[in-house]
Amino acid sequence: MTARIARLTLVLVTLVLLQVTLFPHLRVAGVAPDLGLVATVIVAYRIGPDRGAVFGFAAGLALDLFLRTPLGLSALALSVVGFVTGAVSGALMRSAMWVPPLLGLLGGLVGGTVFVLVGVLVGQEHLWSLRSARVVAIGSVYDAVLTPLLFPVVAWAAGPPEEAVRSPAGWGA
Amino acid sequence: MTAFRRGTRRRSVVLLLLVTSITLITLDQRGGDSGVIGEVRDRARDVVAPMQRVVDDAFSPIDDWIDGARRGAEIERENRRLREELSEARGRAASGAAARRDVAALRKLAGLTFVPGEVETVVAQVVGATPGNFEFTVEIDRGSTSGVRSGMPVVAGDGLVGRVDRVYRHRSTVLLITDPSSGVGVRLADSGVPGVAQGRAGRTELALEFVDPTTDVEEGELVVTSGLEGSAFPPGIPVARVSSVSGSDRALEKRVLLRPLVDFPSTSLVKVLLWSPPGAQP
Repeated sequence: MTARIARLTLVLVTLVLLQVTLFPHLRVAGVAPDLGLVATVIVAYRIGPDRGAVFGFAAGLALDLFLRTPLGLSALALSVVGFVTGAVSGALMRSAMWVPPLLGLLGGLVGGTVFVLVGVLVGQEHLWSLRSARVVAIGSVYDAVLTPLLFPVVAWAAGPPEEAVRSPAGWGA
Repeated sequence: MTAFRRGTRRRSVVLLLLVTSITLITLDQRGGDSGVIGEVRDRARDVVAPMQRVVDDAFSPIDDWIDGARRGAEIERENRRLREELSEARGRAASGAAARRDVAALRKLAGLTFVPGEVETVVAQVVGATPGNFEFTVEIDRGSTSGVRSGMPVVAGDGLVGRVDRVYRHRSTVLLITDPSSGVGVRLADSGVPGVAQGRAGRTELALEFVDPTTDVEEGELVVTSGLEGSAFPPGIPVARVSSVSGSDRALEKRVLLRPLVDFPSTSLVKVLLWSPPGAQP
């Protein structure tokens, strides 16, 4: 348990640093991926919705430190992503290769939508725009593409699943 | 029974996380940058800033190359236009002193109390862009220890960059004029007609709003900060040029778009004007 927490913390810190330093330069159509969200999706897929939600909360909170939006907004969005992904993935064919990218896409859509809607509710009215819809859509595709690439390392950090086999063929770990 | 307990635990965990998130959002909204949250943000940015700078330096030539390849034709046109402007400017230079006297007199006549030349400035380096997708900000390496305060105007060689948003000890976040939550009080340099240059979500151009539809607006016309009473910016800072005008005089609204003078992605050095609107809290 302690080793798992240490591994996940290491992955989380590394991804947040990459998000803040490297990925502002690697935008596609002006949109950067959300590495914390991608990792949350994988953690939830591997070790369940409650732990996915906790990891999402930590990842979101770390990213919130570098954003202009209120602290806690990304944390809330990624908690929801972790929980929803963990819950949904239980009903999916876990060995299929297409599952992680699909969950990345779904997580991006859910996370982006929650972020925008809650943001508007707490006074970030500028988030209510067509551009936000475009950002969420492009960001979700970007997240989906990155999910298989991050899968081996995040799955390693999350450790073995407690229930049935959860490693889809081809993504390692 | 076990499944029931697990379900209850999951719901409790998620509920606890949601309540904690909402509490943090509320505390941050109410507390601003002071207190524990501001302190934690300050420390986190201090830790990451050197790494941001290293990555920025490494990516700068690549970004320039991509930008140049994408905007090759535009840069060529810009080059031609600048050469023409340079030759015109040389001709006008002789009468510059007289024009400055005229401007000073006009400022007095208009009742403007502020002259930008008297304002102290702090040079700052841009150390990073936002990691987020829903805001248009940059981070600079000057903060409250250099006298920077929230709301202060930030300029580059070509004109207005934005205003200081969040201030930490050694860092500040600058809200660019292209951010959708940014609105700058401006006036058309030729006609003097006031308006608001509003950031547009995801667009590099600004919208000029609250302009009288009967106003004659020409493409290429310079737009500067208005400096009207209560404005967040001193008067006369170049902001943008009119890039397109649509809508007839009879229309209820004229659609005027502005192209900012500052090329934000390639801006690495800025100046913070240590200025606050007259009457504002220091």
